[in-house]
Amino acid sequence: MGDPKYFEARFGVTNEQIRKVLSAALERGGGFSELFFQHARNTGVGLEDGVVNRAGSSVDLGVGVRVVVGDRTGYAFSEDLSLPAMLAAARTASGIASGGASREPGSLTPVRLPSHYDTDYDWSTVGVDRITPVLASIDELARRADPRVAKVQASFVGHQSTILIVTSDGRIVADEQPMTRLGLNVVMEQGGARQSNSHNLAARAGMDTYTSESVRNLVDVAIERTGVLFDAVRPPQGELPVVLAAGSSGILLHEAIGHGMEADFNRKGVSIFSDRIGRPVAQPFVSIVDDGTHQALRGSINVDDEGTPSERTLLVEEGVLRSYLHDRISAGHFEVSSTGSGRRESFRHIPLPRMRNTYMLPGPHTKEEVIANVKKGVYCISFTNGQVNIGAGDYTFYVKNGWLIEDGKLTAPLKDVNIIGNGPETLSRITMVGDDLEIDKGGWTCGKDGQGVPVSLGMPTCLVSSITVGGSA
Amino acid sequence: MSGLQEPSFEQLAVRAVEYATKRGADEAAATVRKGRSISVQYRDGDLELLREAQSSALSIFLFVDNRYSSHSTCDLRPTTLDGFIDHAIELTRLLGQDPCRRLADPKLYEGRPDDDLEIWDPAYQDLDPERRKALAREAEAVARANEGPIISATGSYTDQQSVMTRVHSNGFSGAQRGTQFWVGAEVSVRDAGERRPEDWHFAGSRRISMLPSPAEVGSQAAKRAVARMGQKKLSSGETRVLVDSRAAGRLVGALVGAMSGAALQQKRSFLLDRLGQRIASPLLTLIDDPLLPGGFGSRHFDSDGISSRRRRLIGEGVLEEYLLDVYYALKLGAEPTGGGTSNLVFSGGEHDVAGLAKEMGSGIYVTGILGGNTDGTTGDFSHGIVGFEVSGGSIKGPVGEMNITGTHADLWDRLIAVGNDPYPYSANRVPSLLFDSVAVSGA
Repeated sequence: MGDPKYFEARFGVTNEQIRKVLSAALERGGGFSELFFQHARNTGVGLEDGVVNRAGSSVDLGVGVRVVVGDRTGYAFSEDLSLPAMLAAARTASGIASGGASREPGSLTPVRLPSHYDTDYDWSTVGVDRITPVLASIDELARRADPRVAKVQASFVGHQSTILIVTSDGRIVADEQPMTRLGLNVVMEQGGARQSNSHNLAARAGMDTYTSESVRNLVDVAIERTGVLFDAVRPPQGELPVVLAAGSSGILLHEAIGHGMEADFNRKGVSIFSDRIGRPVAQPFVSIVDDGTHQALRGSINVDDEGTPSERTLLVEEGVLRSYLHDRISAGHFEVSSTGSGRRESFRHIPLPRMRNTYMLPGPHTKEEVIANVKKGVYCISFTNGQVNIGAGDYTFYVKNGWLIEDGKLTAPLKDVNIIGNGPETLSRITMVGDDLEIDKGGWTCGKDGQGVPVSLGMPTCLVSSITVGGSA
Repeated sequence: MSGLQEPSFEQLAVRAVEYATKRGADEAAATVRKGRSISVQYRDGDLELLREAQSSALSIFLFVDNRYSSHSTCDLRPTTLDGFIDHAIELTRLLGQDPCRRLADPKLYEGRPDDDLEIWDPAYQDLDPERRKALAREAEAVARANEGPIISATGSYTDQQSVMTRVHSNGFSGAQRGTQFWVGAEVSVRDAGERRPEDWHFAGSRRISMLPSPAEVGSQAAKRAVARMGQKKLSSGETRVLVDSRAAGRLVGALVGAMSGAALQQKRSFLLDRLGQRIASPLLTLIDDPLLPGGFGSRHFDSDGISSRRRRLIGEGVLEEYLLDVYYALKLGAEPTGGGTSNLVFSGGEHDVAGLAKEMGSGIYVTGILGGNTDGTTGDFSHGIVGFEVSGGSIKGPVGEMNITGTHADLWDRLIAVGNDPYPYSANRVPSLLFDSVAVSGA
């Protein structure tokens, strides 16, 4: 668990100073104030053309001060943790309140957290000399794996974020959040043609993420997914049955339902899922969760960035829409408990309802049954990005690798296909769900209002009876 | 440029470079940035968000025994900074050698222009907090008052001021400051079924006197959202596609990305070995203009310190220049030309969207690109789109939940008209573009 005294020990921020800043934030009568301290240390190392020839590091330190009045927010931050600088930020944030009695914060009580990752790990103590051999091995493995390999780029990131959240209602919560990501880009040449692809592995964990087996698997997948592109074709265009492979196909859930269930959109009534809680949206064998408690997964958090412990939230239970993803403001608006989904990119940003690890629970079918069921369609394996229009419900995701399905068999590899559908329509068209749930270990980052947060995705094999596939005539 | 607000900033950068070279770096460069940004947001008649951000950061680029690394910190206390640089140099020594890592040849620093870029507004200093609120409030109020089943309207105002100074150990020193002012509105409307289509309009400028009126912005956003009601999906086929200036930047971005030194040297560019060849319709002339007055990308020098010059990247469809920064130029054995683009400017164009639609006859007018991607190595792309059907030369009802798919080689070859309406709210001033025979997938 994180150390509530970290910022005092390193930067001299005492509880007495914290109380003064919380009070200053409430001096114009705000209902609630909160301080978010963060000390983030980042190291990146890269290999290109056979040499580990680049590295970078960054240090980020500061405190964000938030004042909330109902649904309204005042926000300011300071990169200087001296008392006068913090008080200045607090007074700026207090500008959202329009007057009224000032308030004193309650007494500060530390909150104990469950641990969903190793909070004793510290990436900032890991030397670059431990990373360089891993990157070199990626280059060597990739070049040995296939003679067509022309270029390999490999990159590593180790990120350590120490946070302390203190609220005017007396909560004081600390967390240590490690994060790492290792990835490679491969370019292959064959008969004058070139193809490239990438793959990566991420975790909220330490160096033990990178075993010889996990690194070899990372490389093997990248090589396989690049080589297959030389034979890849475009699918026919138009509405087709789409089979989503187990794993990162969870991007469908993230875009088609996840964003629309973030409660800020719903308290404003602007999501296509507004007013649908308690209503059926899918077949009874469809259940979808957003779960921050998976051990060491990239999107896992012990606590959200408002100080609420993380949880496993049921978005869809046996086909029925159950709960939005709440932060503190939306929980107040709907008079429910926060689901621990208030997340932010850094102390420079306001928290918003965000996803953590989003996946569908296993269903009654086997992968083989699902594929055999499709006469003509596509099977999607890997993805690069997705997007959604919250209110219209139209979402897209981009398929990097897949297969054409003909008469229940995978017949030809596919490439570079955008798929576009409508969230609620797609949910209602999920006709089969496999028993093979797989959580993807990729380094996904979700963007919203200019803020990126780490997330994970998961999916069992699944059939959507019809979505629009971007093919060629 | 003289007259910076923060003379101590340059000293901080000079000091960091001196310290790094004293501690063993053969060469070093440093930038110090300071920025301030204020945002105000109104929703449904109420002040919803007030946000103020003030940041400073120092970045240092180290060249130690043919080894390279870069580092940044927002903790600018001199004592901490020395330890930070010491640690960074130590880290650099653990890397492999790369003889292509070095600062630019000082000859490239010569001839730096001193034109007034008109990107700094002295009026920023005197801006009243109430004026900021009034701008956001008006955008929201006008949007909400628009006719139509409006569920929610948000109006916002943001401004920012930034100051940057850059110092290299081999003689470069430069500074730049700028301001930006933005007003925007987002509107959601109630449509048939459960659909709540949304749209937006954001407008910005380098000087507040040039900012479009919040009423105009709010009204535009609302009209756009209302126009999204009753969206249809058309059947699949090949058709003409007119991409609005607001959406076309995405397509141009993929083309420009393939011109970068990193993509070329790493063989991840569909424009590899195409210099001097025709890569697009003769209607495409693309200029990088760093000296455009009031441009969002205007500058006197780039991130290698190379002096800015106006350059033609694509002339009448012929690829005339790659974007080579110092590092990748050395790796490719070529002369550096400057890695990034500043303001992208198109030439030609006689018609606005209505004129282009008339020329087009029938097809799809794309006003937004929803997701999708480009494979930079092969040029294959596929994007989701929203827009309007065009028939008989005029714009009809909304369409969406469709994709456009193809290759960049084909797409740019099929460019048949360029608009006279460059998008003014981006460094990439892309006009509306009309393409022939694009694969569109729908029903």
